[in-house]
Amino acid sequence: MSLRAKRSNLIRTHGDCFASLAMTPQVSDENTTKKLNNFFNGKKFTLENLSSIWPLFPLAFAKSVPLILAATGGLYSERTGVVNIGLEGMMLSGALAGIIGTYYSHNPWIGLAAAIAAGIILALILAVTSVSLGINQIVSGIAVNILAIGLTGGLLFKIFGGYGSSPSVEKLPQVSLHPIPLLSELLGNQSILFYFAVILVIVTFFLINNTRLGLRMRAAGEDPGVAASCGINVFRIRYFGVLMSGALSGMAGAYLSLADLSQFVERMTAGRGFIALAVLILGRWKPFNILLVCLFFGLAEALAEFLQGIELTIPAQFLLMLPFILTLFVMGGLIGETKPPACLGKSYQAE
Amino acid sequence: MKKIYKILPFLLTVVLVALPAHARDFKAIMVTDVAGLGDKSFNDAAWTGLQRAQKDLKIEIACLQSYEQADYISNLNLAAQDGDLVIAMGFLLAEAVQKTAPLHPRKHFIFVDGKIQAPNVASFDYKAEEGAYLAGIIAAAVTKTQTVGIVEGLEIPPVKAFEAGFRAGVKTGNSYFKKNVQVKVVSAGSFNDPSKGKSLSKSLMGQGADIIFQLAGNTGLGVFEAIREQAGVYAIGSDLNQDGLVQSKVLTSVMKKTESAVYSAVKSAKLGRFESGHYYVGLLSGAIDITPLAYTKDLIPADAHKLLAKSREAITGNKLKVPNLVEDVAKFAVPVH
Repeated sequence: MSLRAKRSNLIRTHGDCFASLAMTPQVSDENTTKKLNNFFNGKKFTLENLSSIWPLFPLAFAKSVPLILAATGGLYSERTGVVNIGLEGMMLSGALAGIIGTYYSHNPWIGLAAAIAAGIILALILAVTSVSLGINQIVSGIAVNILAIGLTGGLLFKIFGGYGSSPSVEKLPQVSLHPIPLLSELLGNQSILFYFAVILVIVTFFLINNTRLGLRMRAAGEDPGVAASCGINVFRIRYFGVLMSGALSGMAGAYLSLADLSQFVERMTAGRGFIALAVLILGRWKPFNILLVCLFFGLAEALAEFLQGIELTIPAQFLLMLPFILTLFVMGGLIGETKPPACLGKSYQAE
Repeated sequence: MKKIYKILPFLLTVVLVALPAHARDFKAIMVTDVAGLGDKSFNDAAWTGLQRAQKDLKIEIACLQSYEQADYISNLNLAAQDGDLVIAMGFLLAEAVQKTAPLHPRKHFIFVDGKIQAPNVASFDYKAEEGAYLAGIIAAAVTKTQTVGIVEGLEIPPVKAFEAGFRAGVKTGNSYFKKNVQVKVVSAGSFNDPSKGKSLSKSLMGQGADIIFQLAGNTGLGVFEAIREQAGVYAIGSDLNQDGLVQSKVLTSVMKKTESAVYSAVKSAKLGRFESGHYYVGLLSGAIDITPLAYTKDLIPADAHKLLAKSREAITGNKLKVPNLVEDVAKFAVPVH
């Protein structure tokens, strides 16, 4: 039997089954059919065409990277008991420093180092004011954010001589997991920082739960007084937490400017630092929960953007809002009640 | 010692605020809307015009960026107090200008991207749809996937005018080139989120779009980034000539020449010949146009070049009215040239 005959035979015998799989509406609802056909570039809506949703995943992963980095950074700070509202500002300064470093050295790795340094410097402001001087953590965090906005805008003008956006620079390399078939398709070409972020989450998990340092961090966050009485230097631990959060937020900013794009744009973080803060809370201050929430949020956002391209009658504004609501409800429901470190946000003064 | 740390930020602030701004005889101050400078388009174009005016006319210039709506009125007031001429950039400032201009009757205002009637305001509105129409024809001629996309910043009338013109152009192209090109429109909800602009573009590409028209200010910079990363896709720029941003991958740009409007208005104000009123300008006066296709001439088929020339003639000769509302595109009758 020839191949074609075999195939037609197959279709004849399994025709009904295929027809039901093809999901093309049999009832002639003109409008719906048209919309669904628009959905998949005029092709018929079949299971095969679902593969056009495939590209959502690489996009979702790419979107989650800055959130994973910043939220994990926030975790370091908040587990030691310091609320870090300043994530946004630290990201923003990291984004600019990354570009400046790369612009002068032509090496994005030096740019990345500069971004981390910039994040640490801003974190140092938060640490000095809130840990050493005991100023309200929220207030100094807000100060950091405001400072970062003004500083980045001003420096951008001073260094590149123009308002608003910087010139383009070299980007951090992208890595594709070619040898592994399914995973490489799912991930697509991701920046090297994506893999770093995943490793970071694993490392953080072990650091917090299985090491002496992690125990001390938790102690400083749960009850600094008791921790101090056990001989732990609460100030040092809290400095470590805050500076780590600065370093990682700086890196998150560098992801935006050096990996996702190749230039700095004023206020380009667009609230991602605050989203990271929300992720941290939704993720119950636990590394893997944070990873999960970030990936879910990334996926929800990618889906919402995908749906915008299909001319359904849903207003764009609603779709822009969708990822936030979805994440809040689904992740809130899945992860459940949140219980912050007991002494989060309380300043500690040695007696 | 600790006390010094505590008052240091305060002292710093005082010093910064007190830095004196010394005045010269004529000062023009530009106020942006939330899109801001650096967009390599709308605002930057006006800023270029202002810088040219500074050089040629020896005036003082400054720019106040608005980051949120709450900044509009305070920035405009500040500009009117400090300068002689206020240049308000962007449709989003319309209401604020309407409120502030009467409070400063001796100062002049230029408002770009809308209509305001006041004795001391010269407002410029652009028939962006006329340029976008030509870009739509190019897009319809070049696309291989029969799908083109638009990334918008906010869904506001000037942006929608671009979209309407573009859709009408694609419609005309469809009928002339016997194609069935679809237009997919997405919005970033912000003029300042390039990362979102990039992912939206990638999403559109995933749905088959091979040409993306950016109408998103700084968000649009992400569109170019996405175009740079993938082969076989093209962008269309807006407001300023953006063809050089990704060479030979930006098909054309629909230029809104805010530069010349700002320059000439500043000049007449400086010379004491400021004329208030409303100027509604388009392809005919050259205020709206597409770029001369420096890098992409060969990508565009010959019959498209012919159609472009004919359409241009029809529009400037007042024989063709391009819709500026998306709702009117369906009613738009494809012209017979």
